[in-house]
Amino acid sequence: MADKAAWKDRSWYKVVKKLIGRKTALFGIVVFLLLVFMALFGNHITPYDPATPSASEMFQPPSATHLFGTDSMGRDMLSRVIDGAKITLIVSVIAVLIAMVIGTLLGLLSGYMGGVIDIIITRLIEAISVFPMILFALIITTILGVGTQNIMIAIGVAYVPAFTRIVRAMTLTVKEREYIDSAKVIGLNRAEILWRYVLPNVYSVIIVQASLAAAGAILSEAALGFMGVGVQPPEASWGSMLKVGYNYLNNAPWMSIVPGFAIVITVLALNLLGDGLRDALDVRVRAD
Amino acid sequence: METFLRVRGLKKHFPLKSGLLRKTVGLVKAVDNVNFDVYRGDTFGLVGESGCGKTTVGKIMVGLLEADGGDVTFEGKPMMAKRNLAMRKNIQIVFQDPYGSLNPRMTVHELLAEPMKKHKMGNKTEINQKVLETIDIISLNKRDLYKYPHEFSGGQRQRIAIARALMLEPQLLVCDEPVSALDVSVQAQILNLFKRLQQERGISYLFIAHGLATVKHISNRVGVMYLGQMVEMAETKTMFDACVHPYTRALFSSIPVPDPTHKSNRVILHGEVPSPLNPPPGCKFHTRCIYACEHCKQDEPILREIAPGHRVACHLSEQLAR
Amino acid sequence: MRLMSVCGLTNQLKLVMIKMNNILVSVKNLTTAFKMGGRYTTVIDDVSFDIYKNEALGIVGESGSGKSVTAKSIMRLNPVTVSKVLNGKIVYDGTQDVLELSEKEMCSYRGNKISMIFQEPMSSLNPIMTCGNQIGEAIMLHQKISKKEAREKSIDILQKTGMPSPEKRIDSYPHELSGGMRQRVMIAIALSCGPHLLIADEPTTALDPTIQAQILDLIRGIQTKANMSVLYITHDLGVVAEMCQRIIIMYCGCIMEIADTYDLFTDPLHPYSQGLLNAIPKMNEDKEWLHNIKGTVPHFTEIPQGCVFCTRCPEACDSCRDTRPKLTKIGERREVACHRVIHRLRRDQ
Repeated sequence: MADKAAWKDRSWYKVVKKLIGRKTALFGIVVFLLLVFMALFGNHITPYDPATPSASEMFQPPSATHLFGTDSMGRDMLSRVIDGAKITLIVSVIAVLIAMVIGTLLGLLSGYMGGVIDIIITRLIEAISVFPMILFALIITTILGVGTQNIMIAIGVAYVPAFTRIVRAMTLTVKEREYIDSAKVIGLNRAEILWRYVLPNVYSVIIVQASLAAAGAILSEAALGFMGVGVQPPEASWGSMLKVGYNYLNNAPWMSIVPGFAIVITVLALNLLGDGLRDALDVRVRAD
Repeated sequence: METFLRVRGLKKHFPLKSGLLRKTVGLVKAVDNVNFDVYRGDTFGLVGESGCGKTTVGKIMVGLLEADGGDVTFEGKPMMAKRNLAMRKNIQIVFQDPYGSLNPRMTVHELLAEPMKKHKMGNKTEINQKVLETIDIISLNKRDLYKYPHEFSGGQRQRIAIARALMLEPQLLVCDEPVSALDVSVQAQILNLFKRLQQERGISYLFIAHGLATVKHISNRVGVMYLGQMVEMAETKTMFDACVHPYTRALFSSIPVPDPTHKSNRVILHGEVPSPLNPPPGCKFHTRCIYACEHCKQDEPILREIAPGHRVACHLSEQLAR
Repeated sequence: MRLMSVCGLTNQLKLVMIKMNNILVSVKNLTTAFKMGGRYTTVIDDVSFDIYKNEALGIVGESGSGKSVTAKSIMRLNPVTVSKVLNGKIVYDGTQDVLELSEKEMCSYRGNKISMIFQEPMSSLNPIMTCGNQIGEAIMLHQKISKKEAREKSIDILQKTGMPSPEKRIDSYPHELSGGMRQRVMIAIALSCGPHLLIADEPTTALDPTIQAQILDLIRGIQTKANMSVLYITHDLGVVAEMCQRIIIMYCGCIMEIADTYDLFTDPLHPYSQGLLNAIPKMNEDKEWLHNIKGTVPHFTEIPQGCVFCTRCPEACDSCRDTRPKLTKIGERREVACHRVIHRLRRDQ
């Protein structure tokens, strides 16, 4: 049929260009991609098997053979960190997905329908956000039990309010635009309007929130892991590694520093990525 | 002339809520007892200043707002407040703001195809065919079909909006200030487009505007509104040559004419438009009218015919007409 | 209501008085560029015109014509971070070049010698200050008087703008007033220090017709009484026909034609002026189709090298596409920037 418009004019290309232009955002992207790489191909790049203990190599400080040292069971720290990336990533991604889907849905309904539905959803969100995240997660794990699956749910639900509030606010603005009226006059029903007219105009804030929530989820997972309610052995996440390393802080500080550092870098990177995305998607910020 | 849209006694009141319990403390009578007819293939121009209710009338006609009272018949059948899908096909709208009335996330092709898809007016091939034809009518390119609204100018966006409204082949198009936000040279293009479409397809227009010269150019009949009521209604020529109502006269004389030799007998109105929350008793215009008498202050005048096709809502119509 | 007769011929009488060549502001070869898409692009090119004392001059143009940028340049209101003047002078009262003044000197110049009113009174007035305070602030900035005296002066000026019960309105906030009243407040602020030039940037576009008539009437009355010049920036040919003695037509950053109002409407020379006048629906005409200027306003990246109008001009030739025509004086009171027109008139002489 007709020729597609030049791809250089496509909006997403301009957004990506703006994003990469910012060095801090670029850092965020690189770290995130590194994390994904480690999660996918960790098994192939670990120098040692992260799970096999070795009595002869316990508590070794960082050296040429063990770049980050070994832990209390003689396992190589570098391999453990790479392996832990997998769990950390899965937990935070799933948690954010749960929060994003539920939160967006509630936000859209609440903002667009208004009235009683808005009141009910807003009260529900307030009820969830009243609890400090950790307390909330503890309550959930008490009810459902500990383990990887349950903390994903716990963190996910705890982050729902962040998404709902922001989506609701954007929906309230978009709802007043004339193109919504145009859709109503054509005869589209509410579901069609929400899906095709409201959501596409709201997704930019969702993306920014998702990257920030991912950072928060990693921190939360670490905290919960540290308290022992998160990922259970033999699986290891960076948080549970911190818990173990805590006992040996004097003798083998690298057991805590290494996973701790990994957490800090990742959270920082995701925050910077989130900031970069927010600026890149904001039409007022110029690319220069 | 066949009456096609018949409006009688149209009312729309917006309650004003205040306080913690959101109690209704007042009523804004945005539209109060409005009557008019639109004939098939005709253009009815609705003019008035801000707050007169003309936009509200337009929105009620398209089903964006529900009337609180009154009787609207379309092609002899009563028009329900809640529109069903079939009814939507008949009356469509073009908005004022070409920058806000198109979904920024949809391509032109999607915007044009969507109405037909929703109303199941043909299969994919047929819809594509119609889209191509329509793009041609509004003088845009095939290449433009995959672009997004922000890549077009104001005039082009308005043409896209008109095309989208036409996809359902409506019989009545409500145009709510469709050219006010456009440049002069672009306005001319759009007005010519409207006229051409009417000649080719026999569409009727309800043309809402405050640009009087524009309304005069495009309308067959004109109605003037003030504070929610219709104060005068006549054929265009009669209205602009021999209007009767004091407000109409003031309104028409206030427009600056692009002709330096024009000697305008300008009628400058004192004061501001009264608040629609607290309209004056009797004739709503009496507070600013030099001809107001006791009768005007107490009794509301009704829209009555003083000559064939010419209706005025003024107690003193006969005297003023002379 | 009062009945008022406005005759375009009084404007002609005024012109005779203006002929005494008292120039208040002289804009010479002004070229300004704005930063767009990372690069500086010229938005007004080689703009030259004079504003005489005690005259009403109109600049007419569509969007992108550069009329607002030109007006703001006179007040140096264009944002310094994204705009720069590439060339030109703006000479005030034969003595100072406005573009050379320091920021401190500009402050005594703005609001005092030259004032401006804008289109949207709601966004031009400070929403958290009462109207009285805003007018008073303007007065106290340029005159050394007490707060009490400033308040009295404010009420006085507000009364002159035709505001009903000014003593009460002076303590109102902008959002408590209607559009017409807000515009009166803005006019009061602009006039508080008796400027010699009032720049009105689309002052009535956002107002209803009957209120527009009141405001235009007000401005005209003030101009006559105060011996002030007014520069109208607008796209409405009806407003300039009524209010201005001379008109400048701008398109894509260049001046196309300068003429007396009567001359422009009866005998427009530039093809763009002709097209514009034919495109507007007129109250006293009964045309079926409106004249169309073919094509659309070019994007700022696609402005032609030659005459800016050549892509849409029915009479464009090769020299039009090659070289940009300079604004040339034709006769005593007319200037046109068009190769064909100049060529034709020279040939006829």
